[in-house]
Amino acid sequence: MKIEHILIVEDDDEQRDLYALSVQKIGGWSVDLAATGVQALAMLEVRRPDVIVLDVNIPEMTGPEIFSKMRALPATDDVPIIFITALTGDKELADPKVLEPAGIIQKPIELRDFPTQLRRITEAI
Amino acid sequence: MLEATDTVHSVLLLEDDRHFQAVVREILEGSGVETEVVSCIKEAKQSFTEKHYDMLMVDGLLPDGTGIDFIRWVRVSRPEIPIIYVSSFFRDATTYQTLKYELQVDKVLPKQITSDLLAEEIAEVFIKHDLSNVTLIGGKSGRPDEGNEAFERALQEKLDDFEAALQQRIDEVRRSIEAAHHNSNNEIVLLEAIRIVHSLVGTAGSFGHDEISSSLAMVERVLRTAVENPSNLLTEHWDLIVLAVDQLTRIHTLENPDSAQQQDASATLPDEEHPSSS
Repeated sequence: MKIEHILIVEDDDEQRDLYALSVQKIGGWSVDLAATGVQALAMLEVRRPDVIVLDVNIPEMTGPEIFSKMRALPATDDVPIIFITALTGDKELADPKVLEPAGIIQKPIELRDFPTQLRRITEAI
Repeated sequence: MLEATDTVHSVLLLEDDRHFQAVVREILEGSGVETEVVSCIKEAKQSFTEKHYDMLMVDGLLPDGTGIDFIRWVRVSRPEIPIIYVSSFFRDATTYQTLKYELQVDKVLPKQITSDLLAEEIAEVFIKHDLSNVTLIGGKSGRPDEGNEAFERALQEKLDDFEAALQQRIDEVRRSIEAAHHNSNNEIVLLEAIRIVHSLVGTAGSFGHDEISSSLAMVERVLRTAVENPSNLLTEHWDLIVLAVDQLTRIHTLENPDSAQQQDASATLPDEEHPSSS
């Protein structure tokens, strides 16, 4: 699957900016950036991305909650969603895992490899 | 950044924040794009009526109305003009949809964006509308290896900024943890400490400060146990957290000897506060 456009949902300004830098400059992809679930869902109605990168640990609407809402949208019900998280334990990852995302990438993100990681995950689907 | 071009284009920037005005000016004028800056809708309407612009950049909230009001007024006479809307993050879906669907705005960007990314977003709009031969350095139109070069340059700049502020970030972590310790039943204070720690875990790790990142990750995990039940954090847990935070300064000093001088000048060296941590 060819990636041209990606949506990144991350509440931390600094990390969101770094991920965008990586996928734009190294991946060569265009990117929409959202800090909250509300923003992300609004953006999905306007433009369908090829991949969604979703932070698990977002206040208010959490990553798994956003995931479920994205899956309920007909336009994006089959877009690969990749979780990113600093959580490690089986218990902590139980909620995101049960949703069967396309992949889970562990933070901290290695920025130079980030686009390759995303490409590998989407190619394996 | 934008590449300079032989063709002179003009942009009208409607923005009342002087800092952001300067950021946009530097990007555009540095690339040979004429930039006129106005601070309110009244001035914007006057300028727009008197002169032809190739693109608009519009702030969300202005002293005499909203950016949406102005864009709606513009669309009557110039339905095709490219527009970038830059504002503090909106929180409602309706605003975004109004901008993208009804008003056909090209980009909706957060003000927290760095100048580097902002330049790329502007360049994308220029290319999309065929306004010039502006290319994204390192972007889709560049050579394959230009992307990595541009990335490394941009990352190095960010890394320099990050490292210059790292000791302050560690101090901020320390203060937030002390506040959480003294108010362990106050969930808001605890969550704020977790937010500050969590942010540094991810950023430090992405910048290659692995030891700092992993130490903070441990601190975050321990702090999170207190969200479910504050009594989960016993005195020894707090001691462990304080010790880990003390280690951050030590690691930072070892990684960056230049910071040692600043540490010597500090009146509250962590080792003096917690001699048992050595």
